[in-house]
Amino acid sequence: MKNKVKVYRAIHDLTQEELAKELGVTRQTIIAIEKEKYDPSLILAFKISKFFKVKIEDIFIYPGD
Amino acid sequence: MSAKSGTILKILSIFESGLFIKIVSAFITGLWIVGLILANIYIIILAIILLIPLSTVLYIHRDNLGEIFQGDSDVVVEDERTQLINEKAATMTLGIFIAVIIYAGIIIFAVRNSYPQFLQAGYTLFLAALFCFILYFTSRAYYTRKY
Repeated sequence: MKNKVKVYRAIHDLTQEELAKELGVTRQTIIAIEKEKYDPSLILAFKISKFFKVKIEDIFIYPGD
Repeated sequence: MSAKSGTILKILSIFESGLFIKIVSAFITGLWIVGLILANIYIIILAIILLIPLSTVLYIHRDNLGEIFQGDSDVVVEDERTQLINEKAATMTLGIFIAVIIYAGIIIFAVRNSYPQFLQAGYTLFLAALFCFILYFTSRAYYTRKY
């Protein structure tokens, strides 16, 4: 699944380490999400969207859309 | 507060902090190692006996085991991705292990006329594979019911 985590992270001027700490995950998970090698769980996707104060569909793009 | 009640509170805090679980786990591990080194079955039996109540305590605290054994530091060592990796690795390991022991068992069983001394090992491998299957399907049934 495509996502804009890297874009929003850059907008908020955060490092992968800082974002990982805020979300309670490892830095490797943030790297994997940004590289689109790993699709986060629904809970983590909601956490990310809540953290960036945007809708979940603004960050994660369903392949069919 | 009296000294006696202070001591009781201290003991209770040891139980609550999980320190007690850590101490007992370390003690049982020590018993296993000493039992194996000294080849003493009584020490191993003592370890098994102690393991039964510890297993019950661990089951009760199953949701906090990560906190108890890893501590509650800021560094995240396990998250949903590592859990997924563990699940996939465990499934693959189990599959490969069962396949290898079944094939090894078949080979040993096939050469039973030439090498009859290995037949017992063949049966052991078949039984180990069967035990793994039973364990796998039991845990599958448990998690199917859970989710």
